[in-house]
Amino acid sequence: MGAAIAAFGQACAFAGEAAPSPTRIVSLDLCTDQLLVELAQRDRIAAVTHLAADPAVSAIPEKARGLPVTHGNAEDVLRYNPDLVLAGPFGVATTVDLLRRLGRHVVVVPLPQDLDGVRASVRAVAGAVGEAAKGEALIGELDRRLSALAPPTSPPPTALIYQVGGSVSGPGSLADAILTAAGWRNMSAAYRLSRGGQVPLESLISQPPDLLILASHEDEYRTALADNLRHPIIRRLRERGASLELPWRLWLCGTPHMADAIERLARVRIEGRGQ
Amino acid sequence: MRDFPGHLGLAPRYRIALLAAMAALAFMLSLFVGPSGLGIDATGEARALIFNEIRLPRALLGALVGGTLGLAGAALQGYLRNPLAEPSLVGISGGAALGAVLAIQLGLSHLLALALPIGGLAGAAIAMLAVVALAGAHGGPVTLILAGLAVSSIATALISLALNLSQNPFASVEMVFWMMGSLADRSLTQLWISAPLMLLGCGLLLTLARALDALTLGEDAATSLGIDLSRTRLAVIAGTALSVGAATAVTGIIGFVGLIVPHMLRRLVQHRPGLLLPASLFGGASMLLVADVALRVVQPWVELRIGVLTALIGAPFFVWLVLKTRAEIAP
Amino acid sequence: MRIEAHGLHVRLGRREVLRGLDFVARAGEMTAVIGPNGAGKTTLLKALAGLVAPSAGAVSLAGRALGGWLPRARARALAYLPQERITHWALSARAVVALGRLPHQPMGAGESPADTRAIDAALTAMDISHLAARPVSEMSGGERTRVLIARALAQEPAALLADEPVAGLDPSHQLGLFGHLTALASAGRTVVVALHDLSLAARFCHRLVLMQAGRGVAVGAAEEVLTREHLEAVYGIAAQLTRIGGIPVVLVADVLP
Repeated sequence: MGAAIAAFGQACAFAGEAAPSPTRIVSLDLCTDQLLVELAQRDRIAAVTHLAADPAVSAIPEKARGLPVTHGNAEDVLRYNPDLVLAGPFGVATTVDLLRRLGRHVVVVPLPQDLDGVRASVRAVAGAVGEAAKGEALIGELDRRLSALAPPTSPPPTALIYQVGGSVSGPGSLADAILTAAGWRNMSAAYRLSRGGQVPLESLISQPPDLLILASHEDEYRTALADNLRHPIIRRLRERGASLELPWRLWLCGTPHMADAIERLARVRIEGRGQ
Repeated sequence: MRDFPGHLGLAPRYRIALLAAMAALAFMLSLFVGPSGLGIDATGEARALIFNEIRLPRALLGALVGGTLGLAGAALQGYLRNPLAEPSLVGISGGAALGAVLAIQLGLSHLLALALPIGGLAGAAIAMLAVVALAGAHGGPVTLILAGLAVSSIATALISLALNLSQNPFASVEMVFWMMGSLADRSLTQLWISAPLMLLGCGLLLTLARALDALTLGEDAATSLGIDLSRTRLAVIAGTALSVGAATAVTGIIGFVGLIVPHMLRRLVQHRPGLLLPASLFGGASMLLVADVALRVVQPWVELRIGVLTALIGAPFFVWLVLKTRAEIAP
Repeated sequence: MRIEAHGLHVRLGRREVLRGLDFVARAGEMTAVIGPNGAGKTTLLKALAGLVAPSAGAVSLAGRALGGWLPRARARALAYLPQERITHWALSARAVVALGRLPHQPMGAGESPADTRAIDAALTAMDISHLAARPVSEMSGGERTRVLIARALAQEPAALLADEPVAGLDPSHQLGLFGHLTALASAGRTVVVALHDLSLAARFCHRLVLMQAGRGVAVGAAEEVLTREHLEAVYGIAAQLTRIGGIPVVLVADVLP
């Protein structure tokens, strides 16, 4: 899987005109925003999305502050006259298509589903912006931190990432890979999930995970959908067993920052009760 | 009044008692059906937790909200002398949802839990007044529905606007919750806050029996029989706003219950609008509870929202009613 | 029970419908309110029943101002039959008639024996006992009218105000109704009827009140009110009150230009 992504990334890098070292780079996706900010010098970045500076979803808001913001439609992007456009796989297909037809060089970076995919996306962005060496350094740092993790426990304890609306991160997702890397087993496979990927509260209390991971604080979002986070059953689970608040921003995107999340999860596994 | 034994051979008083028994049965059924089929698939503390914090609130909510919607429908139809009246069609549920969304988006419900049902209540009251103002005191059935449509449309648009403008990343999914309703995963705490308002509103509506019976003869005759029409109107507005407002704030918009239940039960109570009130209360509770059970039963195969289920039954019913009403007005 | 109104002015919207009308109806009498369309007959009855508030002048029932009566007490004393025959729902005839007992029933009470007696008596009086179980929606216009009158009778009121009670009834039922109203009056009740049919007014009513454009033109017995001059001035017809076989009849000869 990882190899396929890497090859695809390379292929994308050669579509359109490829500048060896682009100087006006626009990013249209939160995940490519973060990689771009880490890999390229600030004066080469023409624009990122408004999410990059949003502390709720971005791991590097302070680094992205002050950068020009684009809202993603083709006309807005063209304003910056970019020589490289980085995009994610969701929601911007028509924009990407239009930009390519206008002769712009667009690199689409797929969403990584596992750690190999993370490495491939770092390489893809690093290659496109002409900072291949820096990309390898980031990957090296990630690998070093991963190897410094505590050895796995056998059998691995179970964990579940529980979100607004009862959604959980299922198997084969990036969150799943993060849990596994930290030595946990993703419990979502044990439940019968609804179509929308939600676990009913009844199942949760009948078969509780060893660690309940909440992606947001229970009052963080003003929405009726978050009522499940405040439900007495969830509160009881948190009182009873280990729980951890692991903010979205650490594991939403496949950037090396997710190492922070993995390290935290591994520490909780070893030290016992988290908070 | 002396009750005529109908084709069932039972006085209407006893028929209503039967409906109450049916509602109680539906309540029991709702307690025992869950995601894993009948019964509770757990033991000990988990079992008690599931029963107290999941099954019981859901069943209570189904009974209260269903009863509210049925009763409000019967009250509106009796007061407006209009067989097409119903809280969601007349725009009241939409207004309630808007009030609730604003209470959440402005952070008021975070400060004070009671702010949520009060938001719903305020929204429902404003919607009712708007509809009455638009339709005029003597609007016919169709005028009323048009006014209700206008108010619902405005409410829906404003809900979308509020969610769009919010920093909420879940805006589109939240929209679905409000528009299609849900009884799932609401806690007992929410119930404790909204239930008193719902009960108060229902109580107010039940006092209308006498006035609605008298209104069968028109407003003049009713007044001459000693009915205070302005007090009646106040009771209708306050009762509906309280009950439907608080209910919608917890479950989102669930439509058509207040349309279908009074129609199905009208024959049973020999068309008497006063008796139709308690009948629709129990009938509505039964209907919503059974619908919720059906939802849970089919969940492995298809994921339905309760509002969608009631609309699937209700919308064709509504069309049939419109055609029937039209035929009666202009044969 | 005596019903009185003095200097009654009633405004509907922008129009002044009653302009300084005086009115008296006594117990034991049947009073007819007659006049052409638009004279204000319906408005007068509504004002007497307390359904519209006068802009000037006052109505009193049994010597007490109308405003001083509690609605239920007033409803027990006074029954009003509107001109529009409205029944919104398909209740049975008996259920409709039973509505007349509402003022006598405390909240939530069922039907008492007194109620049953009153309802049955009203059904018999209007000759609809055989229709008791039938829904009013399935009745002819005349039958429905009788049901609604029976409702007013079931109230057992001291005063009965009826707006066009015989409209739509066939002759036998017209006479039957008036026979019953006469009996009511003789028993000491106050009966006020608004009528178009001048012959019936002349035949059955003790006093006639002739109205035109919101004012009273003439009050008194049939002979005093239904004169050639009055009929010409108010109705624009050439007509006269006469007797045929001892029964008073108003014969209309012609419409005057």
